[in-house]
Amino acid sequence: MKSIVSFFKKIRDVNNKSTDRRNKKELISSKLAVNLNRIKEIFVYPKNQDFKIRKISIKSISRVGVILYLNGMVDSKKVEEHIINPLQEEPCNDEKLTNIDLINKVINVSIADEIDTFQEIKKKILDGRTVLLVDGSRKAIYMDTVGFSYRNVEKPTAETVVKGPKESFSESTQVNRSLIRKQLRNEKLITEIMSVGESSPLDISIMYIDDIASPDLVKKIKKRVQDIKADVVQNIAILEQHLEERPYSLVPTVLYTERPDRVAAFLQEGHVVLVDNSPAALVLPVTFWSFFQTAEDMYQRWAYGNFIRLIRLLALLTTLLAPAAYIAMTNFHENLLPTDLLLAITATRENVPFPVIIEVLLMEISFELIREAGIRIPNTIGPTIGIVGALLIGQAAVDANVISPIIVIIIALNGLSSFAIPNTSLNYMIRIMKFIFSFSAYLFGYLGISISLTVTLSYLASIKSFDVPFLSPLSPYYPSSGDTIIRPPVWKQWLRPLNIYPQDKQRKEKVEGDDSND
Amino acid sequence: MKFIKLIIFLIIVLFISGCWDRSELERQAYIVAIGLDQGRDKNVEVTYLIANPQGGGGPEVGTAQGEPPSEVITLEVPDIVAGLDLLNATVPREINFGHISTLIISEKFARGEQLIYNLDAAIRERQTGRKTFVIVSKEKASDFIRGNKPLLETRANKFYDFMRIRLKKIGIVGPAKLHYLLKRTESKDELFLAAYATVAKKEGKGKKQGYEDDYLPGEIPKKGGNPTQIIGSAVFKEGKMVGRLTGEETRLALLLRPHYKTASMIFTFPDPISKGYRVTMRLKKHRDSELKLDLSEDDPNIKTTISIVAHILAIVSGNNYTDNLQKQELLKKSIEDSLENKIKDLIDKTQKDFRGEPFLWVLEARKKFTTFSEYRNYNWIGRYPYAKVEVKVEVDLKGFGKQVTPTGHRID
Repeated sequence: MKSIVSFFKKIRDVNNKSTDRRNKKELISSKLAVNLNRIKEIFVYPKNQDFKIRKISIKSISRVGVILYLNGMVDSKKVEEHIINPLQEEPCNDEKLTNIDLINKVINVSIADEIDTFQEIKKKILDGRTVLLVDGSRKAIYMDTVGFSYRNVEKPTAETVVKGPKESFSESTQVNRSLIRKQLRNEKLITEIMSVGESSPLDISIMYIDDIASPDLVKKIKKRVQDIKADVVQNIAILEQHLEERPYSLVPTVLYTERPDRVAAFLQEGHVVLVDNSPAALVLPVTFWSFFQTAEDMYQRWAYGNFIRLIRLLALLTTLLAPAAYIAMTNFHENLLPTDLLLAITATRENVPFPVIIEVLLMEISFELIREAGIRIPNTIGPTIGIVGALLIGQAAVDANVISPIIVIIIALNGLSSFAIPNTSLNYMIRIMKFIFSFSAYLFGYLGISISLTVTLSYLASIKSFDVPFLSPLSPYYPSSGDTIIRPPVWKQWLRPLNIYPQDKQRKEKVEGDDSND
Repeated sequence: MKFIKLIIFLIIVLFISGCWDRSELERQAYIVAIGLDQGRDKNVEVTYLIANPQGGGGPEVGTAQGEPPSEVITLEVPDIVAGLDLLNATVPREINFGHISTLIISEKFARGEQLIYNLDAAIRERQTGRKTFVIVSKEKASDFIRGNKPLLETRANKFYDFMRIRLKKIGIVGPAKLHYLLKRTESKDELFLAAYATVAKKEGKGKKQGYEDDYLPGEIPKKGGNPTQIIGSAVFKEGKMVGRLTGEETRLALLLRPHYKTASMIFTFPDPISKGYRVTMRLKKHRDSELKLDLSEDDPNIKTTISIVAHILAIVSGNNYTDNLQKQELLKKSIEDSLENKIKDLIDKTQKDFRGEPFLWVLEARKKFTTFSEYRNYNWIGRYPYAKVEVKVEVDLKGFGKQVTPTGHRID
């Protein structure tokens, strides 16, 4: 007993110590040599080849200074031209110049400011800034010289559209934020920066429109981000998993999107967006509709947009239910089939040695295999996998009487439908659930399917993403523009979805001729 | 921990749950038609037509060369359902009743007392459907099923399915669902019209001149093809066959039904000008007929008006009924008279021979009563034979085809 108590005590002590160490602020002294030693200690200097220390004599104030930066994180040309050159070249001989004056008068960098603790110095250098220590000063200057390399803005790979913007996020916060601001020129669009992770912190930009997003929601999200207890959060994809409320659930509650235009649309409805150096942004809170809809639904004209939505709904249901319905029909409800179809299916099944469930599982698993292999395979041999897979598993298996041809039709249809589900998270969810549905159909036929469907729908109706019910505004009902399964024409969408609790409920005045939402 | 519990629970469900109803498709034998004959004593002779999924037609993968499309087995058992297990003495698969689309009853058995109780047994079995097409065959049902050799259809069920749909459309056979037979037997006030059929032994021998539809099965002057002839109706009263109607009589009976609608019935009528010739037309009934019932007196008074649209298909006599309005009027009148006379004969037949009506007038009569017992006390079927019936036919000559005037037409 005693030992257990002491064990916990120890753990607590360790915890306290570590938090102490992190929270303690170490101020900069006025002696350059002391400061330099401390910094060398922090960055393990002579060993770490990427850490650069450059001594310079600052002509303008006739003092010695040191420039610190991490190689590869800064744009060295910028450091040379805008920091080192001005500092060394412009004699001014006014010894009373302070750091502020240096910033104001000498350095040619757009962002620069004073800092006074070692923690800040460490953080700034790690973020790709250059820090200037001046002898005799208790403050250091940091200058924005971020210059690490990232991809150009490219086309989205997962959320492609035919009509609409073709930009996607890239691996730079700066670029990502600029892409969003380009789409949404609103003076009330706020960017707040928070850092997550303890040993190597990650800067997250929290963006929202100040007079639309609900303050409670923003507060809650900020708190959730703050509460993340993790040593390292590598990027947005990991952050997503830290943020969600039900980590074991099949249902995603945070939207991961690579499209700046979608993000802008969500911001205008009052959602909050998290951005960092990742090729995607997180949108929260979200509803089922956010996963089901695509950007193109809105870009295409009313009829076309709704047409593709209905097709996708059909695809979603086919993916979920086609194998299950086939199993139920052939195992329990053969009297539901038209006699001709029944005889045709029976005829092809007569030589097949497996029961239907094995046939379906065999093909489903093969298809998932092709799919996974298709993603992991090196690009050069990618196209072959489809041909090999289709030929080998489809035709040959039928010829060998291992499976019946109708199974190939069902699985092919099912696979094709699954590609029409736009969001990767929703896609995985439906694909995993189709196995559950198939199995319940195998056990109880249509009764099993209806039980599974009831359970699924009740579960979806019960979960929430940051206090927003997952199936709202459809159920529970909230006033909105009705943009759920189908959407009204653009001019009728004057009301923001109230399930997100926006401060400003209307996008514009109610238009004449719109008799909905009365 | 909760998760593990859930998984254990699900695994247990797998083992204890019932899938007793499950059976794979290929382990079942699908009976598509059943024949009923009188057996020895109180037994029935049941003929099962079992479809062979691999027999003929279908995709390459699912076809077994040389297998026949169906298997016909006759058993003598106490009732239809009793044979289910006995059938397994020869058939290795589970017997499935769910796809029976046709029920064939021999005329001899249909006229007996036993039929309705046998059908009752079949309906009690949950698999059998009430949509089954009821055919009464002149010969033994087993002979009919064995003698029926459809040449166009390979699959066993298709011939009967297509026949049912097509015959219903053209009206030479009524909508003969098993459901109606049971319903009308229960209500006791209506007659049921089953399809009437035979496998004709002698080809091409017509007993009489029946023109386009006035035949009973076996009477059609026809050569070649499948020997089966399905035309006309077997009339059932209280679950027993009491008489028969020719194809034409069946059509007229259907036309008399107030809500019956049809898109196409080809009729021929005697040419009012040139004796011996006939005019062919397609009759359509788009509207409900008017039906007025007066039940205040002892004998019901029935007045009905049937409006029919006629399209002329052929004028073999060459008379100009298309341009000449006077002739048209003559033709119209003659058609109306001809139809009215035929209908009158039919009504006489139902009143005298069957003592009941297959025209569903009872549904209209029932509306006249406030309570069911009042209606029962009125005894519709008992009064119908004495009813005064007035039938009026209104023909509207509409279509004259693409060729308006007769090609070689005489100038008049």
